Amino acid sequence: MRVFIAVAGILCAATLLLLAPTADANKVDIFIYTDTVQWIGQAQAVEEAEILADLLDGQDGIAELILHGPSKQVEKWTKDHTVDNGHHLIVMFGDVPVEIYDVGKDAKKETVAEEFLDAGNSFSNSADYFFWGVGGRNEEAGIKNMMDIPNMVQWDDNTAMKVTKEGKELTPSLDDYATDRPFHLDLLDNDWVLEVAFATETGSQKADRCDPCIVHNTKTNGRLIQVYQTANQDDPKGEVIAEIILNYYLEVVGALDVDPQDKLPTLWGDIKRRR
Amino acid sequence: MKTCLQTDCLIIRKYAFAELRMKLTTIRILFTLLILSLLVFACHDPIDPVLVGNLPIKTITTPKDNAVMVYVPAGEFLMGTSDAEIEHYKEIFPLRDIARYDNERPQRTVYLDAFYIDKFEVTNQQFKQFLAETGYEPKHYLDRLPYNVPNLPATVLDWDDAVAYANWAGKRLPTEAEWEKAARGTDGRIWPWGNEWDDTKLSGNDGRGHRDGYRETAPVGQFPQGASPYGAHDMAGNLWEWVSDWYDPNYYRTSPPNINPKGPETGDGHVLKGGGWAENLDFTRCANRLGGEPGSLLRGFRCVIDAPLGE
Repeated sequence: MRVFIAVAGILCAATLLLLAPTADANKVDIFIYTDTVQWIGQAQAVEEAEILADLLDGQDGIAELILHGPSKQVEKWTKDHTVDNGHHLIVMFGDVPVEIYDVGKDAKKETVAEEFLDAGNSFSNSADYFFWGVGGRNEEAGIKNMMDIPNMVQWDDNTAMKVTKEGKELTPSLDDYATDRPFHLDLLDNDWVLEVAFATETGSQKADRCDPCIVHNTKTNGRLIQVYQTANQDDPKGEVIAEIILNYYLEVVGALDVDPQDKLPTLWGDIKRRR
Repeated sequence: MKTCLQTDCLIIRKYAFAELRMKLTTIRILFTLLILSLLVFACHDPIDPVLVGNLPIKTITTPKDNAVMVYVPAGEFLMGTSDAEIEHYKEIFPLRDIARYDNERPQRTVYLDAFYIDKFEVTNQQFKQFLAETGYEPKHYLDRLPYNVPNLPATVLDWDDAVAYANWAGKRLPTEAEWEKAARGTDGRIWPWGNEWDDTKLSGNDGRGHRDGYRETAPVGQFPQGASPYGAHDMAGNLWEWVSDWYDPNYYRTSPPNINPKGPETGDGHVLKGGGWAENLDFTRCANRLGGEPGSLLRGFRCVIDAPLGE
């Protein structure tokens, strides 16, 4: 009888262990795409991607890291990661791959990219205009469709960006600079809000233009992370994207193995309080 | 023979002397003015826009596309950006990475033969006339509002489409050197109108819309006060403009030819000049050059023809 109880106990414990949520449950998978780029040389994009990957490699909260994911892989990866509250991330350098955004300027069709975003995942973009496809296939319609905001544009070159208090804390590699395609916060609509700005035209969270910054859809949980949308400029893109992911994103999406009562509310709650 | 009384003759002679004295005085004044002008001319700072700013503008109109073209005489000009200007740019663009200007250096003196350049960017009216007459199917032309209004510059996103139009019109795209000389004259000025930024002299919205009175591109020729020394309009702002040269960011450092340069043999896309309606300050400088995948830079073009020999 004692042996039976012991075996049953071990089996129960094993079952509980198997059924318990794994540490990977909320971990983030990241796909860094450099096959097609705009406003940045391919070699420079590859260099920035490698800097980013080096800084992310082996860090807590990241399950899978794909560097230079080829375009033939991106569609399958994106579809596989289109799960509710995925929090996974595609990093781009000025071009959204045609394999996941193939409708050009047609606002009526849903794309793999939009489904991925609507499932609570995120895109990061550097260099040229967010979702402006190579060859001008999307033009301004890219971001309008992705956000479902018909007036959204990203014009405004040479806009001085001052690092915010949050930027100083979370992105130490970021200095004041000038952006060429800032996020127009005054055009945010529907469920989109500014979550955190690391640099804005005013140096505070209250501003009309930001870059780098994260805008968040409060309904879907999708996020757009804009980092250095500049032309012909040698910014520390890889470092700043890494700092945003490691110092902010992983925490805010609950990817880190920490007590949710403890560290997570400290950072995000603190930022929200300051606005 | 006319005779006169002694007194009358005296009076007439008196008048004659007075007239002669007046003439001499006038000649003296004119001579002094001439000398002064020469002195002023000789002592002038070479960066002063007055040197080339008030040249008489010589124009022709080409029959095929009914385009007014302005004359750019043969001679030397300063192309690219000097180290001294870089120091100046550090002050006026303090947040810009200086490495951004590397593709414009070193500055050099370039000689060009005389040519005519379109006074305005090619318009939708002209581009559609070309399409109608030839049946050409453009690869990427924005034939939709708000871009395709007849007197707006044609937004021609593909370089091949611009070349096709130029061939039809019996013209060609300017070389980068020709474009830059037509924009800045001979004195190396920063913008077509001079060295001081003035956002009332170009079509540029800075993304906020309507600052210049137009939401995006403006009808050609709306900013005459921003015209170049040779009378070319909209060389800064409105649309980026295609030139014939391939783009190589290191080209200037390879000691390219200084007489009628035509750019490298190949490169990463073609050069774009002048900045567009969404750009200001830095991008609209005459020496600024971008290439590679142009992405969200909205672009058009203008054409040139060689001036007949002897002009």
